[in-house]
Amino acid sequence: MKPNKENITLNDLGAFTSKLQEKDKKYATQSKRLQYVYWFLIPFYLILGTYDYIFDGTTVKEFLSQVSFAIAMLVFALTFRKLAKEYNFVDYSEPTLTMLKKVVKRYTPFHGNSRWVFVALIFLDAGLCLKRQFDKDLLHIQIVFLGAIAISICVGLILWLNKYKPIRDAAKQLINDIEMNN
Amino acid sequence: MLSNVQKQYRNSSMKEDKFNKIVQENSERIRRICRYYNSNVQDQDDMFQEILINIWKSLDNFRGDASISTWIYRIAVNTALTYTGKAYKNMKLTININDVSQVNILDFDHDTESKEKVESQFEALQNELNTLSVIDKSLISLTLEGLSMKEIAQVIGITEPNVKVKIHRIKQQLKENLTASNHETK
Repeated sequence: MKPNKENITLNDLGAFTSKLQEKDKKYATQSKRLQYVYWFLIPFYLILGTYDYIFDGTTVKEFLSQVSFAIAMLVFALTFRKLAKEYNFVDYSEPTLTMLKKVVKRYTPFHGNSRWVFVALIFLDAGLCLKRQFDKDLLHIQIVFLGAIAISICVGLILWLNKYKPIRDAAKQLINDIEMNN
Repeated sequence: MLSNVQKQYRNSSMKEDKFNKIVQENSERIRRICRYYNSNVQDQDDMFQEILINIWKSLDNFRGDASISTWIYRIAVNTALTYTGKAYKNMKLTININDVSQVNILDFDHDTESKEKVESQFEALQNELNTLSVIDKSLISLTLEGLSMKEIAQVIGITEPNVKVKIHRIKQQLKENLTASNHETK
């Protein structure tokens, strides 16, 4: 929520709080919409896999492929929900040192919660490998999949270096200043 | 029985009332913090607004464990530290001569000093304050606000003895630097 350049006085506090409430509501709606996509895809993959297995006589491998996709979506949904909360609801009322430590944790690549993304990717990879439609061999699928992941990680790291590393370093510096001679 | 929509409306209205009350009661306190960290009026207004946004965001987490003033100072200091973001290293601490007179952070003897001397000491102090680290500036701003060591410890998240040591060291450093610069000018 970016502040606009209006000067807030106590007289227009009512209008300001209305704006805040509107933004809260807007954010909550946007967040829910994103969740709906994931929560829709999970049963979608499961129902499709089950239907194909029972009525179209597909193999167990293909059924397991759909289950893997569903699990990947589930892990993505839960991880992104947690990450969204973590990033968007920073508690500024915590003691400065605690808040800064959380900033460092939040802006460190591959920390706690984001590791779950890799778990989701493993299930996604398993789903792709088990899927029948791909006539390519396993090695080919792995090269394409891992290549795409490697490119995504590189892009992410470049973004992190430019945008988030300076924030993390600044927070680390402040922590050092606070803890110095503690 | 209230429906979910009614409950949401009631909670939202309660939050708004609570927010308005907190802001009205602490408006001047927040304004002062903004003035410490920004000399430019526009920047002060922007920071004031940012602090209000963060008070709003953190309001649901206020459990009353700390006093409301400590809670406000935490949000204000944390916002000031993160608000200035990229420019935080250049963050200037702007103090008013009255703030120094009221709290007298360096124990200047204002009664016996001439007005000119006090003003020149103040100017030198202002310059020295801006050579401090960002955290030291925050500690001094809280001291100028008249917070006790215990309250400062609660805001920053370190122990009370540690706050005492840090503030003592800052004052010592400021005194030494001011004495050295006085000798140089003489």
